[in-house]
Amino acid sequence: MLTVRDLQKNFVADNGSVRAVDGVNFDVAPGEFYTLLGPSGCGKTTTLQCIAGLEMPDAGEITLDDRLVFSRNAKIVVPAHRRDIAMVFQSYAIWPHMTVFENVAFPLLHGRRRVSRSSVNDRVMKALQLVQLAGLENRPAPFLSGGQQQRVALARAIVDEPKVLLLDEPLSNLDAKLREEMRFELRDLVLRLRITSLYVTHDQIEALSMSDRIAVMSNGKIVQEGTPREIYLTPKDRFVADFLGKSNFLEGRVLELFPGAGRGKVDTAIGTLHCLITLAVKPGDTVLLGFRPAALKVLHDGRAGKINALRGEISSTSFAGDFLECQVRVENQQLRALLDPYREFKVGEVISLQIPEDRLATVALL
Amino acid sequence: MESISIVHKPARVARTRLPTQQQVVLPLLVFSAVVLVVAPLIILLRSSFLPAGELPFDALSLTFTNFAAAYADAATLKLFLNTTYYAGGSVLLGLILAGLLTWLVERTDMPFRTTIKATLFASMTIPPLAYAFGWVLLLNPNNGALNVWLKNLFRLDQHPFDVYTLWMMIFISATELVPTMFVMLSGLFRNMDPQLEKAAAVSGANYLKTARYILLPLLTPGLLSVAMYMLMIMVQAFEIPLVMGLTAGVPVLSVYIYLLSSPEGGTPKYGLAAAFGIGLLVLAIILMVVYYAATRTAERFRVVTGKGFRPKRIELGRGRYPAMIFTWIYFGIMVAPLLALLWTSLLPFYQLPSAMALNKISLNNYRTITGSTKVQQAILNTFILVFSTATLAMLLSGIMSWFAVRGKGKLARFLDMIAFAPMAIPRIVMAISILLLYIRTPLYGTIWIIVLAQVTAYLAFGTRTINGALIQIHPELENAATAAGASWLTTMRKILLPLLWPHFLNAWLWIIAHSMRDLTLALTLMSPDNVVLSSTLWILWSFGDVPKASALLMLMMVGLLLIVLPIQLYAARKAGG
Repeated sequence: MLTVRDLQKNFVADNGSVRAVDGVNFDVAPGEFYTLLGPSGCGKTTTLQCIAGLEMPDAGEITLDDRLVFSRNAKIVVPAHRRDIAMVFQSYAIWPHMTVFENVAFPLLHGRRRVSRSSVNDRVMKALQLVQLAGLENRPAPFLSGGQQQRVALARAIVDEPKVLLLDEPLSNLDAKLREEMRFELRDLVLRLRITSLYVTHDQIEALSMSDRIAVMSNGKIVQEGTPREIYLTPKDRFVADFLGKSNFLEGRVLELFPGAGRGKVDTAIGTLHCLITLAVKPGDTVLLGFRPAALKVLHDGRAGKINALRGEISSTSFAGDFLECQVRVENQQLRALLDPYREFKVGEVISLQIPEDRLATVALL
Repeated sequence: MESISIVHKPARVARTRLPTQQQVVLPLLVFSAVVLVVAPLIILLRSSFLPAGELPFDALSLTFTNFAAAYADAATLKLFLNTTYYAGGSVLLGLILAGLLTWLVERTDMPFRTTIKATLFASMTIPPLAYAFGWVLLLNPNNGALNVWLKNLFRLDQHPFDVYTLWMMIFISATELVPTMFVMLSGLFRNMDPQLEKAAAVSGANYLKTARYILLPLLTPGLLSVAMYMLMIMVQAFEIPLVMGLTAGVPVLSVYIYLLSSPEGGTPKYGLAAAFGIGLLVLAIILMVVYYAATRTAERFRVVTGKGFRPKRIELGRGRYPAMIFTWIYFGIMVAPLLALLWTSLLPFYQLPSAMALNKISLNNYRTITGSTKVQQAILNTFILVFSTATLAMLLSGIMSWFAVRGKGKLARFLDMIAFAPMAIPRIVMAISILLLYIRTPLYGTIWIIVLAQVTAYLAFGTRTINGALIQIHPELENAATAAGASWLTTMRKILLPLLWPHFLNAWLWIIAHSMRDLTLALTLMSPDNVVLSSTLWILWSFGDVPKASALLMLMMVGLLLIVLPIQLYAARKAGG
């Protein structure tokens, strides 16, 4: 549905040219919810704006629904208003001089797929119903709350049934509770309408909970692409691991590679560990291993005969409600662990822990 | 063997691409900017090297005689000095008066502050010609009403004042500058953070010391930038120097250039006028550069620390009486010339107020003047002039501002610069340049050449206003329309224009008011067919038909008020609702 090839965009800054997007490639399948995730300045919004046609890329190709809308080599630029997309903006961009109805009706009256006046009313009402704003159609835009503006922006984007929906940090201006609510609502809506969605965010929770696939971006490049599960549980490098929450890292030396299975044995400061080998390494190489704090399991029946079993001493605890966050000292290494909040752990208590071998993987150093 | 590289063609080849709306509009815009602003200046430069008696497109030869004649003459130094004294003097005096008034209105508890403010705002619509004529009626050495009264009252041998002096010109111009200066200064005074003063007071300084060591230094950059801005306007001031300066024997540059191009006898000396024009242009550009430097310092010193504070007002106590006397005298000075005009307009010939004269009062002048076909033509021309000028200037400003603010790269900066350039081009210089450029075209002699000149002149104001407004509007509002599939023009029409409408309307009105009172362009480019109200006024006055000129001036002011007031009320209601 959406293909981006070798996309490049430079910005002229005071101190020379800045490469905002540096050779980005990805495909979004029809109906897929695809997210560009990264810190501010990583080029995700610029990529989105290039696809929308609001920015002119310097190189590459963009195909929307089998139609080439930008190609540097073939010298094709379809202007933004002729691209079959809809967009939701970070600031919502609700036109303050119009009512809710007028805002939502705009694409039908002035857009690329205009409809007869008589059906405008039906379509707008349907869209407003979908975003649960029925009854507010005559309200002037300045009299809307942030959440309502967000819904109007969404209604306006879906009213002419676009093939591709572009969303530029649409939830970042909402307060935390509303944001959580809208996350599920938005996801549910585009799923129901089968709209292919490209979502841009810097919020890992949004990315993980909403997306079919995520591309993590840094410095204008995609550093890892995969399902939320892959991205979170087996981050390819330290940047991705750090960006998507907290991780424990261990340096080590490869002792042995098990044939065929993509697994191996690594010698670390806390002992010899079995782990997933996701990088091209050979015995003797120095590697970095990473695992999430939630990967650690507490062993209640001792460590005897178990792989990757550790003896740890609780050095600090912090009760966070959904979980108990602890610092555990293992062989002079501080590890972060998320433990069962229903059990009380005391500082100084010695416990047995295990890192299941499929939860521990090699991580590129960058 | 070299292989032949084959360019890969995509499956769907793009149809021959039509240029987008922006790609059509932008070259047109650059073209009109160049024609309006750059072309006249090139012709001006060319004309300054023109042999006497030639027109710019007729001769190929170059000569330095104009510059030699202009700048080797000792009289020229006097001309520049006159201009400097006049401009500098009126700005300095104006700044003192306006500063005092602004301080009283914005920072003290003087009574009637709101009324004073409103009156000052309203008085900006009064044309300089009204003050010039009115003061001549009051203070001319022969029969100026005030002169005669004072002479009789104090049994003087001589009339106490002479309006035809540099000092009176400075005084009258200064009082006329006060309302504009007030508007510029009041923001400066109002936004001063009172904490800065409180801090000084806490450290033991009394109010005078605080004013001397805290207020004045903080205000200096702002005052300086206002002064420089007003200087730019005053070096090209035309009306008051034209009415008084010639008789006074203190010609200033703007009037001198006008006389060279439209002499009462003999042929116009365009080459010499152009050479002087270059001189005035250079002076204006220097002022512009200093102004920019001053505003940059003003930015650095910005004492605006945010909203939500009410500056502490000084309690005047007994001091309120002198303060109010000062204010009343100022308003008396502003109203007196208007009353003199009104009085004169009701009489068959100019005479001093007396019981006998009171019997002769009638509206005859108004009747004759509105019955005259020439005046009717002038009224029609004025309507065409002010409405086309305001509309065209705002249309052009709107599009230019969009490209300047939203556009990227050199072209946007070029457009912005071009739009602002007329700010530094003195009105008379622009008039001469446009005259020289179009003198051989059918445009010359029609009302449209004045429209063209005024559109150029008001481009700077129009684009500054819209630039400022446009910066406040989030670009995502436009992007949202584009993403919704609206073309550029639709986005402009449906999104931006409605949002910017109040700003457009205000600027449009401002241009109407100024276009109607402009004399420089209307007079320099005048022909029998394009006489407008302001040039008619000058013709009537210079032929000595003072009562009719007064009547026409009164009509013009009332007419302007009738146009401006309803629209402003509408705009205010719209903005408020």
